[in-house]
Amino acid sequence: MTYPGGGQWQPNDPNQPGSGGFPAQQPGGYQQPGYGQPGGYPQTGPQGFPQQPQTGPEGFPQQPQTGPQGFGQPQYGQPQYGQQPQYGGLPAYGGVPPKKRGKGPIIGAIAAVVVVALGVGATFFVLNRSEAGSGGEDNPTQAATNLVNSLSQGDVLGVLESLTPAESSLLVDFNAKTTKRLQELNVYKKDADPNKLHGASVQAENLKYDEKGAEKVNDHLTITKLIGGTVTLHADVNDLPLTEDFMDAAFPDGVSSKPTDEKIDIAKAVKDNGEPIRIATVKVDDKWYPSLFYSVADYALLDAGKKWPTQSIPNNGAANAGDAVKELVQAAINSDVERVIELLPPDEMGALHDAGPALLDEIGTPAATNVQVTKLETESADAESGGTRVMLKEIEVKVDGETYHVTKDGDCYTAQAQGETQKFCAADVAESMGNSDMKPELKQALSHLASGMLKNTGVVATEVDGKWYVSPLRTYSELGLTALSDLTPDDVIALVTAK
Amino acid sequence: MLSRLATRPHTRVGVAGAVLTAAGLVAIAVGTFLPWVRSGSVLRDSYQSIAVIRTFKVLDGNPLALVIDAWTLLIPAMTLCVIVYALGFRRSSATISALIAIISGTISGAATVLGGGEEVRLGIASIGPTTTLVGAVLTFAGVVAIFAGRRGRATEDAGGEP
Repeated sequence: MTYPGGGQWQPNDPNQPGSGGFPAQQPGGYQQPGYGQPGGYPQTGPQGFPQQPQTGPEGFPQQPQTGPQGFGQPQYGQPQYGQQPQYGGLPAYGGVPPKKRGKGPIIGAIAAVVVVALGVGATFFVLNRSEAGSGGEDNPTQAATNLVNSLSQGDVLGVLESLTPAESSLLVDFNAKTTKRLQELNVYKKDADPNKLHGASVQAENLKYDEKGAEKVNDHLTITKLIGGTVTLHADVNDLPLTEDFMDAAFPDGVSSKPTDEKIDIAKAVKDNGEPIRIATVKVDDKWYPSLFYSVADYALLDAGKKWPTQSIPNNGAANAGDAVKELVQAAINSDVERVIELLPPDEMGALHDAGPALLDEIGTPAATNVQVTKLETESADAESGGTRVMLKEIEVKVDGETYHVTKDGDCYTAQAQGETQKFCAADVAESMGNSDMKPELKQALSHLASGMLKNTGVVATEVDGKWYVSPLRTYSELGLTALSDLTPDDVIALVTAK
Repeated sequence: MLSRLATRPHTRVGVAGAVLTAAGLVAIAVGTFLPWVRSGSVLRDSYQSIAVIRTFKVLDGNPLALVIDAWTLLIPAMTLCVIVYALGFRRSSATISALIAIISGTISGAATVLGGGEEVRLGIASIGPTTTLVGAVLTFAGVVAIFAGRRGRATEDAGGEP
């Protein structure tokens, strides 16, 4: 039912027929509270008579409300709990017109939608921008340009990022771990940045490529050719973040070396060599990266007068890190170079896989040695340079019918051969290297150096696509780190001051 | 009813808090796109820096990798704040804003302290972390104001001075 005002019929509306012309009121004339009234129960007091005090649904008397209804909100124009909305009806305060809603809510809603749209767009942008592997480029020339641009801007991170992921990971891991270890040994200052290349910088300017002369070797390898520009190499020992203690010990008379700057004119170098500067770029996951190792392999092939083989040696890893090392040892003993290359990581040593057939041609077929590994037991630990370090536990080898047996226990090795047994420990190294005049601190430093190497030296294996491979570069890095593992800052001072 | 906007008018303190929070969130968002890492003459914003960290896998297996993941969710979280606020859930929006302020403020504060200034060739740049830190402080102040505004109203409802 509607009334002339156009609103819905309200049981307590003074304009409703039969309401007696009085608004429904609480005793004392208080406005009835919005929450105190039973929801949906209209008031039905006697017509024309003052209403009895109203009770709630449970029969409890209602508390008269002195403040505005609800949470202090004006009653008019707003829906209330337990009451019919009064939109369009006459105001409960009688005579106060309903507030008109302005354009504010509409503008607010539009603004919210715009902000949300911007937020969604920014989210996609941010997620894309923070993705790993953004250093790759769409073509080989761009990849090489990216590298030299990073060099030109002194952007170490850009250089590392522009290299193939495996190579940059190798360099970053090694540099970071070495810096950290040298900080612990008080050789590097505590604030030395582990991601920085210390003591040297490279600057390149106006580099030009022979884009038409780029050699496409296969679907994932292209040799780009640099023909112009300049590269400046800067080296300064003073830029190394060495501590004062170390500098005083190592250079008691001060550092005499001056910074060196070497500027290379690429065009002149190209003219002198008769060959452009070659930068190998490789494709990894549809992105092109310049590669140090492929570039080295390319120059090695060039020097040997060979071309990149059309076929690669496939990667064929082992089931676990220990097996990878065992199979590599056996392949090396058998002079099976192809199997050795198969067991090298395809990401780090991809260049050797691709250049492998040319290497096999060069080596020929070496005669197998008369050595047989009859027993090889290893133990594994996490390598500091990344991957898994596989260390010798026990090995038994037969050479010309003679059996040699070596076992490792901590930093001691016990060798058995021809009926004799010899034990060799880290402490023996210092004894054998020094003499009676050797300072005790130097003897201790040598002992610690040997201890670190004998205890922790191993071969590093990495996992690629579920198979395990032996990483020669990480093994080499690990050797340096393990040599330093047992040293103390005092040992370093003793070693550098030894005469 | 989904939206509670119509039933909850703003108080002055609440409005001031909301404005402050909005300004803070904008500053945080802008700060994340300003330079965070300097390498040579190249400046990288926080997201590009995260890409480098992820490329080098320096945080693989490290709990700090979660912080990196959380950082990339700041913008979506801010968007969520706007949606929740527009629906009238101001305290929920303020709570999310407070979390954003705490996370971004902690990271940017640490970065500001560790920053090597503008003269370093490789290190943390100052403008991105500083802007984000200022944004975090503004946001947090705004959130406090929003909740303070709410407390005032609750006092009125309990019979206090209107």
